[in-house]
Amino acid sequence: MSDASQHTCLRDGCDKAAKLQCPTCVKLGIKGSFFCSQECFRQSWGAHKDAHQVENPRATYNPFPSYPYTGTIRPEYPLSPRRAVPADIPRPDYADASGGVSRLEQSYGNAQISVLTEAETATMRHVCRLGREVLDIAARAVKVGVTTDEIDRVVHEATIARKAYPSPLNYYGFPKSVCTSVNEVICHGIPDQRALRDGDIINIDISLYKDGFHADLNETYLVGNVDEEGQKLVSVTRECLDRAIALVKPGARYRDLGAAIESHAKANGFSVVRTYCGHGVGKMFHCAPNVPHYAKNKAAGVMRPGHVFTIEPMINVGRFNDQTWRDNWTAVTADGKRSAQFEHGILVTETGYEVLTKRLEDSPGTQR
Amino acid sequence: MATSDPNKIVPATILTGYLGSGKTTLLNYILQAEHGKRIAVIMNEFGDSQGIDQAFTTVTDEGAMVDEWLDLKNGCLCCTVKDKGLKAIESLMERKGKFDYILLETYCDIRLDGIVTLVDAKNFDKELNEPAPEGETMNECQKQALARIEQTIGEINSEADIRRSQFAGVPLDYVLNINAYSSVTTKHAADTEHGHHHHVDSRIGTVAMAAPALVQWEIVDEWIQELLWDARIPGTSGAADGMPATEVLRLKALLGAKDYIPVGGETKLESATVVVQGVREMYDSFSVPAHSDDGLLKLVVIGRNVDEDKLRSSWAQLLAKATVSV
Repeated sequence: MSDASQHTCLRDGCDKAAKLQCPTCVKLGIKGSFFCSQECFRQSWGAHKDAHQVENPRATYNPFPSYPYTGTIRPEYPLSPRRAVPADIPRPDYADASGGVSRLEQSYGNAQISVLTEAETATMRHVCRLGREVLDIAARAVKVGVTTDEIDRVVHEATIARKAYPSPLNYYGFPKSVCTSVNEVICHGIPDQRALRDGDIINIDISLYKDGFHADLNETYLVGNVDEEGQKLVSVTRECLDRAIALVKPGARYRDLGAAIESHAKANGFSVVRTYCGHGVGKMFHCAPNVPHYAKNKAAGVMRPGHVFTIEPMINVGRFNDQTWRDNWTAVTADGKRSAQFEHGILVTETGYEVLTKRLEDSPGTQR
Repeated sequence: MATSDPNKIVPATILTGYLGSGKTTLLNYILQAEHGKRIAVIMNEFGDSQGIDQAFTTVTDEGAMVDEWLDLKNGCLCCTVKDKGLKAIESLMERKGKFDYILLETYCDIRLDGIVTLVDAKNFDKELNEPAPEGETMNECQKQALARIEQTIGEINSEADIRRSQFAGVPLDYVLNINAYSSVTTKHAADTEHGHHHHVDSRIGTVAMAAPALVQWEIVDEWIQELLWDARIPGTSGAADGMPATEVLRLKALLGAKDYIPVGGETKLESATVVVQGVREMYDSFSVPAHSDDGLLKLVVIGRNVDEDKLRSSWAQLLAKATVSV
């Protein structure tokens, strides 16, 4: 700790020892704003307050300083103000509900898996394509120094430009329009003021709602120079998804997808997150079936043509265990090691599958 | 070890809970745990699933602890077969000294030590007030749902002490010898005797169907999947318009299975005795040591709006395909 008596009052013409600091400067992290008394502070205010404008517009703080973080990532608050969605864009039922509760989802409970009609499938295909476009736009914004909040802005604007609602916004109270999950964050990271660093890996999870249907997809991207282990994690995770997709066809059981994912992850020394699963998607953001990514799961259901669901394995460098930050959203690995994820929305067809959220020729990101 | 004292008052714990909430799981856990007590268990197997849980339980205890096993053939112990229930307890009491503790699924007259109610967190809301909430993932919805469930339980019984567990793994002193009723007066005790009669929805029915010595596992497995996952009697097109859908709450089976593969298992057993335990759309199966009595092989379905005739005929059609001659 520095000795407060070293500081002298900032007021012109006053050279007394100063212990009092300007509260705004403390909040913004601006150092050295000491005054000897309230009186000097008040007299200096007219000139001093400009210091708050020019300096450091992103001074941040950790909102849960006593939480035992498992890795090096910390939340960097304040979050930016809630972004608005133009009134002419149709909103899902939870967008304005208290607590962001979706009554539609709750009223269905463990309902049967929906079978989409041809017309509904065409809508879903279009909405998923829009989701892909937004993900690619977000991915192009990924650079060293860019904050996850900036990625949220990019996603939000690209989404509403397509007359779509960003599905995460207010879903069970989620404050932002996209989930950004960096390094040891498994999923559901909240975009904040943390700037991406060289060597980070970041998952961007896009969901949007248009014409009555939700699209949901994500990819993990490399920021700058990622070490070999990180690159291997990302490519193995993508392969895990691809191997599970290859099993999709009418008559296959949802419970059998996990074995393909887990065996490939294990063969590379990685583990599979068990807490979060793939899910049905369509008129509801999340619905039946439940699609676990680990082997020997007991998920219900047989695939039929017209089912649409996500597969979204989360693969960890270390152990599979997860825990959640005090924001009640951010899921992190319990050992603080990195986690990667890829997600596609899949349609079961008469003969096999169609990846509704498939990559475009110019989609950014590594494709090995 | 406790010594045999025939005059000792034997404490009893009542184990209750909805179909599939984990009563047998807790029972197994208690029977396997190291507590130096000889526990007599009176098992009131609902419906006609008698034998299935026993097969399942007997395995886990290596035979030693179930000497005092008493099977109660059917029905609800506290209401419909009270005389038999008492008889079971009386005959148990004649052997007093050989055990220290009684575990009973419903109600009896021994010193009431405590009532332990199992609640299945996944299905709790659905049972009390349908429809149930369902979040994205097990975790997210569970966290909110668990808090909500605990609040609801607190509203129903503010005295209830609540403990979360997986597979009923709780410290034994949490459920045994808790003396929860040591200060209860007769009047209160009498009050508690009422209110026993609203335990099962009147539309819930049970169908028990015999199975042959050996069935082809994969065919039976698919039949079970259609029943549980498609919510219809296999081979039918489902409920007619306006008719309520078949809703299976519980499925139990003890089967002789050919080419048995457990869920997600890599190895196939040429022939195995298999216990199937299903709760709503979830089910699991385990292989257990061979059963001596083929008469106990059966499949039991407990559910709402189950058309018994159609179910029996579907089962018969299945057996025509699946039965393996031995």
